[in-house]
Amino acid sequence: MTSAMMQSQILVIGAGPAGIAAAIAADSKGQSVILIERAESAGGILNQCIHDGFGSIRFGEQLCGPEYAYKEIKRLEGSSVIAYFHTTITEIRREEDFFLIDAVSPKKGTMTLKVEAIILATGCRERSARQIFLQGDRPSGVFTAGLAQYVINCMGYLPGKRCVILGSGDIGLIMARRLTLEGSSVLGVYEIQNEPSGLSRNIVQCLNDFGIPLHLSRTVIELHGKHRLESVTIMDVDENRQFIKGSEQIITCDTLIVSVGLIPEHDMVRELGIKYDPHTSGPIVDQTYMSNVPGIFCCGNALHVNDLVDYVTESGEIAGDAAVDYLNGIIPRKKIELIIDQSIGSIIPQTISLSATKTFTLPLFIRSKRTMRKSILRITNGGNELFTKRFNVVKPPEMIRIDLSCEISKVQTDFPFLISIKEERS
Amino acid sequence: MNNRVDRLQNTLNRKFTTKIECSQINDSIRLEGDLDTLSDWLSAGYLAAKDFGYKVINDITISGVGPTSEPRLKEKTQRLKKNTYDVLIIGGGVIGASVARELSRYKISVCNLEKESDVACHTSSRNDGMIHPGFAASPGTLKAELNVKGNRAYSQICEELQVPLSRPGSLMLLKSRLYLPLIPIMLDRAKKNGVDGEVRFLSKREVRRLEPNLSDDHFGAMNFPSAGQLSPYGLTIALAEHAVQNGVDINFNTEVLEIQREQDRIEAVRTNNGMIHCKVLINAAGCWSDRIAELAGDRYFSLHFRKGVDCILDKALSEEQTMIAANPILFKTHASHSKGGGIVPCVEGNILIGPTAQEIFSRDDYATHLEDFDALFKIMSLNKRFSKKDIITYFAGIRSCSWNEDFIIEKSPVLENMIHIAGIQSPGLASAPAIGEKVKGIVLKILGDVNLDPTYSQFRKVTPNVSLLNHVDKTELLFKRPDYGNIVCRCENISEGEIRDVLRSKIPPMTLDGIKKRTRSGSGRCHGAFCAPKILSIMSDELGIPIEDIEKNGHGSQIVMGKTKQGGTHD
Ligand SMILES: Cc1cc2nc3c(=O)[nH]c(=O)nc-3n(C[C@H](O)[C@H](O)[C@H](O)COP(=O)(O)OP(=O)(O)OC[C@H]3O[C@@H](n4cnc5c(N)ncnc54)[C@H](O)[C@@H]3O)c2cc1C
Ligand SMILES: Cc1cc2nc3c(=O)[nH]c(=O)nc-3n(C[C@H](O)[C@H](O)[C@H](O)COP(=O)(O)OP(=O)(O)OC[C@H]3O[C@@H](n4cnc5c(N)ncnc54)[C@H](O)[C@@H]3O)c2cc1C
Repeated sequence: MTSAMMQSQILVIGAGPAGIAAAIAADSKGQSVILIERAESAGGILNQCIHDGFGSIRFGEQLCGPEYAYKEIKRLEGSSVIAYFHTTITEIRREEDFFLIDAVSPKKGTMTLKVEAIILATGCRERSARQIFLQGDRPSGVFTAGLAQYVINCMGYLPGKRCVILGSGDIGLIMARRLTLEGSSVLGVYEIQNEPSGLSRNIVQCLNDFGIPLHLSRTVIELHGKHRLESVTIMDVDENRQFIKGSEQIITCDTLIVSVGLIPEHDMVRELGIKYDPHTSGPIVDQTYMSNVPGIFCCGNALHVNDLVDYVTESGEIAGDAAVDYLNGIIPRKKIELIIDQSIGSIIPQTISLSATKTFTLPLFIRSKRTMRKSILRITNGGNELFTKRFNVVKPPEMIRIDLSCEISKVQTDFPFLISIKEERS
Repeated sequence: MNNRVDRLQNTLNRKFTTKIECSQINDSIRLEGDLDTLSDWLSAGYLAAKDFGYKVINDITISGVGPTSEPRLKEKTQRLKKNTYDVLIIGGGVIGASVARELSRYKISVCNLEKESDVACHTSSRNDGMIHPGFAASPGTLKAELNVKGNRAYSQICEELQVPLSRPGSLMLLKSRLYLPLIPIMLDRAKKNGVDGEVRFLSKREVRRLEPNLSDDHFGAMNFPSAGQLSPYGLTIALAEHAVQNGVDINFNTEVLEIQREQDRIEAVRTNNGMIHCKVLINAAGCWSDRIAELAGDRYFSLHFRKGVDCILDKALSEEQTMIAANPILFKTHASHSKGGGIVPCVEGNILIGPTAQEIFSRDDYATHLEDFDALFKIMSLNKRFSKKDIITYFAGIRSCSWNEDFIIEKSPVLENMIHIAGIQSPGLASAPAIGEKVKGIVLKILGDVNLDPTYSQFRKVTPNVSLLNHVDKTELLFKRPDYGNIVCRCENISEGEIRDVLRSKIPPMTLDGIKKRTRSGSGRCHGAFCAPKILSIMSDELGIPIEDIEKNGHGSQIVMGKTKQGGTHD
């Protein structure tokens, strides 16, 4: 028995929208591309998102997740990308100027790949109940929102009948509606912050339209029930997120859906020395989405958590194009850091690499730290203002996307770019 | 004799404003009355233990409340394997399993009874997995003797069972200069207890060289090279599987409800699933062992319960510390009868922090609370690299403690054919092999003429751990069994094949937690958010039960509640 040995220039890991876009982009520039996906088919998380709201920027219409995925998969099938499904990578080793990758699959057994560049498009995972320190018993009936979504939409089972939802992120809101439509009673959505963390349209369409109450500055602290969940204790918090004593209340329920955030996933490459950004939990990248490790690129939710799939596809294209440039030996000369102040939660990319071109245009993705009205976003460099834009309102859940164009001769390359958002006094 | 009772009565009268009644029953002392706090309740018990050792029956209520009684299992849920055995063991924890495995070497029929749906559902899956060196207990105690013997036995047992064991050694950090003069005394104690390996004092500099990330807030450390670590449920399952492989029966979901005796002999036990007769009855019921003694009409000791909370850090930190490190508690209080917590690098690569110690008035309240973390964060600060955000999970366990804080392992003083194993708190796991040996000795004495079973097989049969195989072996294996190439749990890299293997093993797990204990699937950082659905489907397929019926840990802990609305258009 021999193990299959394969070779290509670029390996894309993950066939969600990001990975598909990256693979097609690199393929269309004539590079050999292998795409590896752990699941049995392409599409990633889109396959379980049967609600609509996908693709308005890219396709100009409101699609549901599987429809968006279908369109992308058709494009993939029209390319010469070699895709392996149901295949899991078990190890990645970095050699001098290439990578060796071990993978397994039930069809092919073990295989080894030799590639020159890797694009990570592995999506994200959900933060668990334990990661937010829920206490009390550990019964069944506690689901992360994505798991509940999979159980309902892909398996056809009901997580529970009386549900409390913790966290007002988009997936939690969507699940509040989904559970209601399946006949479960959703008792309420509890959010520790004083504003919801999901998109406004989801608050309206998923909660208000169904009369589901949203409780802000209130959170679940303990679970009760030795076997199946029987109740939860909720508690109010003050402005500093400290529990307010005496505000405890017990709610009888059999299910808790935890929707408390997503974390970019790249466990596989942890050992390769990649530097991470504590704000995004993803790798630190330049505008080509290359990490500090030459030849390793990252896109989609593996880079930072996106709220719109259209941007995810775009990021895949950027990484795919850039990986080709990298293989063609286009090497950036100098890096400029993008530094954010306390008004900003995170930014992608975190650095800009200057190449031989005279001008550059690149998309910046920015999340504000808090909701601000009538505000102005500013980018400065060595005291010079490079960019300003006014916003009626910025909210953390809604990512800001701007296009930054600069003439390199005008940039003071020894100084970082400083980015801030300020409320304008009227 | 009565002097002892009168003396205790006087002490209690002086100490408490309400009347505590002392009465002697055979060799034991019984306390009755009502006190306001758990702390008073404990003081009364410990005062009695000064003269009566573990033979204290503390029936004092706390503000009118006695110990709660748990709901019992439903009658007749399944058939018993047989109705007569030479030896019956109540309890499928590490102690019951260790005893069963020892007895499986002989030509006798042995059966374990366990009220849960799996082995290792209580204390034996809720501990630190540490194989203590045997230093902490005072010389002359059962704890000290059996811990040292148990520690020594583990190297061979783990080989026979194919259970991973590490021996990283431990550092007992000395937090105060005041401890330095005690070093010769400590070395002497290690010698008296017979602790293996070269026990020695390491200067602060030597400690720093070994463990550079430890905080410098100490004056050197005692080093015990024989300290080890293993997966406590992995071990318990392996012991039980090996016993079953050698002919032992286990009845799960079977709770002992009554014990029938003919004068001073046990005849049979009545369970929710029917009667079972036996020649010897062994009480290895952990936190319920005083209840079992009571059922046998043999209540000459009682227990108290100490909860411990542990937390587990992400595997990514496994390089940050290799040795076990702890702060000793050299000045004992009630709570410190179990060794104060420490940092334990686990054989699977995670770091474990804990346990805490808190007396409670319950046998199975495993809830954790935010307050527990104050103590855990303090322990965590022993290593500069660890922080709160590294915690991936936490759990609680309950130690069952006798009133003199030593193990109770003996033939009943009254009954000819009943053996009690009680108060098996820490280092119960470390001592388990030696406890098994000791109990085997008592059983053989009761049964008389018993021969070794020539068909006994020394090694447990195991299935492959695919992620540990080399490339060539893996390639070959996957060719034969493609399901080993279908990775189901991505955090721990567990394949469908490995899950099917455990479902076809000697003790097939019937619950999701049972799968988790055997394969670690779902115990990584995602906590099963990805793998749970896949595992449910595989379980349903192998066990032939619908997904709706699969439970997390028995007792109605179903994962899903039926099917969604069928047909029509959705959301
Ligand atoms: C519940 C939910 C609702 C959403 N709603 C909307 C919406 O209404 N509108 C909108 O525009 N956007 C929405 N989004 C956001 C958008 O769908 C996602 O951001 C986008 O799908 C992410 O794409 P991705 O390719 O980065 O990751 P994913 O879609 O998660 O794809 C990652 C892929 O990588 C694979 N993979 C991971 N690790 C490995 C490995 N080691 N080996 C092989 N394969 C691997 C995974 O199996 C998966 O297929 C929603 C997201 C969620 C979760
Ligand atoms: C937090 C913590 C950390 C610890 N750390 C360590 C350590 O690092 N090293 C160490 O050596 N020790 C440690 N210990 C101690 C160790 O865990 C115990 O000594 C050991 O697990 C006790 O095993 P057991 O078999 O006696 O009890 P259990 O595992 O509780 O088994 C008893 C079984 O009996 C069953 N049972 C009870 N009543 C009935 C009935 N009527 N019918 C049928 N079945 C019944 C129960 O269901 C249970 O499964 C720790 C303990 C705790 C709580």
